[in-house]
Amino acid sequence: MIESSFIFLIPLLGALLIFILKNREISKLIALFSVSIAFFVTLSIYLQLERNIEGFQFVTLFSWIPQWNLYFSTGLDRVNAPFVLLTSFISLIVILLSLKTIKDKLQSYLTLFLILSSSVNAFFISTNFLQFFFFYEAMLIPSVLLIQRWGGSKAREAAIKFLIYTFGFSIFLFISIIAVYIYGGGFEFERLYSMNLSIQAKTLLFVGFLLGFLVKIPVVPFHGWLRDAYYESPMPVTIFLSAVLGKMGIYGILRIVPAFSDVLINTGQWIVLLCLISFIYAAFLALSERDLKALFAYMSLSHVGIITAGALTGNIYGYQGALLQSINHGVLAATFFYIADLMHRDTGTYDSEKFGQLAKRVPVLTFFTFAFVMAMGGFPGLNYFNGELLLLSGIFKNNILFGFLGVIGVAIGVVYLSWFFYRVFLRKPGGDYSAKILDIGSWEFLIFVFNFFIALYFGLNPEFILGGFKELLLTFGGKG
Amino acid sequence: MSQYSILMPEMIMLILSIASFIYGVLRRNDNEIFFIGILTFLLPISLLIFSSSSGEMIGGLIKTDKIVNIFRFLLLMTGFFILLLAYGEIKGRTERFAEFVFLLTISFFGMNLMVLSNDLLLLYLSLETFSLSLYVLAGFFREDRRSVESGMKYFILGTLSSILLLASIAFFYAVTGTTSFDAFKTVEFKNVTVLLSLIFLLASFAFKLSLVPFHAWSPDVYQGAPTSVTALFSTAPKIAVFVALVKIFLSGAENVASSGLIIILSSLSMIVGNILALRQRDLKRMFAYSSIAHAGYIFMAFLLIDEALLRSIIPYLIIYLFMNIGAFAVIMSIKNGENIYSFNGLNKISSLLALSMTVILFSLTGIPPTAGFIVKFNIFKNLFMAGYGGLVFLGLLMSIMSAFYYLRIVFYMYSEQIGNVTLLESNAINRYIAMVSTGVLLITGLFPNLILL
Repeated sequence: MIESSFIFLIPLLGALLIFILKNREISKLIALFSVSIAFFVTLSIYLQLERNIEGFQFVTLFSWIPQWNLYFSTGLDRVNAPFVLLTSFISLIVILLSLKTIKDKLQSYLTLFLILSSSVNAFFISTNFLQFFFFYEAMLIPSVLLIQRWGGSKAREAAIKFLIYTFGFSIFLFISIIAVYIYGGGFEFERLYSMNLSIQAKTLLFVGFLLGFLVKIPVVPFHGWLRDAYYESPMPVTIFLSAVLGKMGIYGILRIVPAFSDVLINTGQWIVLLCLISFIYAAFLALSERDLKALFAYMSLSHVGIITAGALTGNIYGYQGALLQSINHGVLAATFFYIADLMHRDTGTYDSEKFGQLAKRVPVLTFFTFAFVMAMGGFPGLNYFNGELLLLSGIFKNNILFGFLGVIGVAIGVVYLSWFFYRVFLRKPGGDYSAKILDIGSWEFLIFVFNFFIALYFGLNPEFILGGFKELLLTFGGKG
Repeated sequence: MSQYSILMPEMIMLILSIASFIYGVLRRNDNEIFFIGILTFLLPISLLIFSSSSGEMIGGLIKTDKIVNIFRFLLLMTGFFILLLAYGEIKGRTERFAEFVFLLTISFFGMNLMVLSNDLLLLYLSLETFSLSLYVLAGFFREDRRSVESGMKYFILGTLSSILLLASIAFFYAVTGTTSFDAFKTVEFKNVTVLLSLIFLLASFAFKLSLVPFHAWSPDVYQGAPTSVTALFSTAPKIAVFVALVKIFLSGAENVASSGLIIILSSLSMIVGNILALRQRDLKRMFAYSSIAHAGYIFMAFLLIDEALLRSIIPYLIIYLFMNIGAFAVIMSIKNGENIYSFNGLNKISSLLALSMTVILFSLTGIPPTAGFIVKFNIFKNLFMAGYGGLVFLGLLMSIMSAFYYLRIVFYMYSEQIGNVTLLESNAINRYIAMVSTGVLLITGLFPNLILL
């Protein structure tokens, strides 16, 4: 019998083994082994999940804090299952990349990374708010240490900034969760949905939750930590940060919005506007950026803006779009950072001005980069198109003006992506560094083929992620 | 005679510590004294484990129950740890190890008596017993100017607090004609004299707990005292005083409308403690401010009543004890450990020690999965439920600030620069104490049902 708790226990066990055995070669094997097993367990649970049932499945349950009448319980349902799958998949890619790129202190790196992956998965599969918050914060310890110890020259500042922002704003989450406990009578998610509060109290609670989540995602006024944390981290950690950690906030929002459908009509609109402004603002930042890693960091910031906006529209299109696009964004953002890392590995620079005419030298990389640029740009048939379509129709349904803003942002997104492609791969005066770049090896080839396959498969079959959401139309405030 | 069985562990302590003093002064053999010192703590501990009884004795002068017994046990254990910590530090620097052990054991005798007492006079006596020993302990390094200054400062200000306590007892006696805690149930709190007595009592205790504005002594005293004594200051007396205060509150003093006073004291302590800790480079000073801040968090719990008060305060005290003992054990395993720069690159020398300190510091900040999170959550949850949302918010804001100064040490430990960290080999046992505390913090953090009431 497979239980959902295996998903986070397996990496944790791997971390423990690496810590005990203290052997460099064996630790590589253990890390790879534990994330692959975790991935396959997740996949098999995902495929067996009954998508039509509301409520958690594959539940693991045992008494945790009897004093507060609280069980430690993990489970998957159709909202968190895609996120868990994403985390397990990205963990696998990150471990593969880490084994190639991380040279010093590999064992402690792998230990910390497995703990991070495990706590993020534990966060996604929690079924009550205390556990949710517990892992939401617990994941700070390994990630801060990873950024600080393996990061670049300003890593210490980046790590403390990341910590203070997340930990600092999590106090709003903390208070909201206590409020759920007091007014709902328990920490379980269902308590939030069944609470009877006045609209003012609900708004306050909603804003409390949001302040915690918006920093984690992040959305523009709260994004101060993002550039440093993404830029100073070692590349595998950056991938994990942008592909998975940002999604923790989005998942949180997706989890709470069904309880706040009446708040979304009023207050929610302003936050949707804020997210769209974030979407466009970050797109402009990306437009002016010449450094590849920073460019992709801002691209990530920009895209999570529209995803959050979709999640807060309060209609089913936006909700589904946010869920689908989170997964798509995770896969593609990881791939783009991986491409930037390939460039960096051979040349030691991220500066896009120094490259040029790569298309001639590295045809395979060019092919894949172009394919992913197309996917990210929203080419029909590839994964981003579906998500963008759903998000934009959700936003248009809310407000025509908002939809217009969303379209502008999407357009700018296409511009900076094509500029990136033009500068690095096509532009004539070949840069000094282009000669040093080698084409991708068989390992990367496999990863890229696989990611491209995912992009294509999710593009043609978004039901894989969204299955079982049709009847949610009825439960979601009747706003179809 | 049977009623004295309650006091058996403390009596054994008293006899053994006096015996060790006489024996030690005559023989001057540090190892033997150390051995007797360990016995002085371990015998009462085992007695408490195997035959702890609860009840009253000497006409209600002493009263104990399950919770008090837990704290007697914890205090003795703290004493045991402190003795182990002190062994490496004191033995090398002074001839007078016998005196040190005697003062240490006597001070723990006083604290245990304080936890047991159910009468203001006994409370005063036990407070004086341990305070007098602590004054001497603070100034134990007579050659060190700062240590002497620390002892003097603590003595002069400490006397002031004792006077306040005496005045409080006098006022209380004048109105009620008794000094028993039980009188709190019946006393008329509208009476100005009683109110004054309570305020004096709180002020005197606030001094011992180093709550702002009664905190001025603590940074200097913490810095000047021998490090093992600083570890003692930051844990045991505070726990003893807090438990005594809980007993007083639960026996009826909670009915007095003192919430304004508690809010002011605790919020000032949280603010001042956390802000002033930010700029400290000396870890002993930093821990002085940090313990001011923690006293503020704990003191907030006195706004609650009955069960809620017990349920919030007891887990926090237990975890606070382990966090501070662990942190000081790490500080004392390193040469010049009180200087933050000594931690530079500790991970390269001993990754296990660095890991312990990391867990302890994250626990002090209150980040899961360590126990510090759960106990803080517990206090804040109970306060929020009682309707003190604003105070909870302030506490949370301040605990964000604490992340700066605690985690700075973590960053130093994992820094790439080659520092000059040297482990003190004579203090090898400290590392085990640090690891034990780390284990406790992690296990209770993951399984909070072990400590929550």
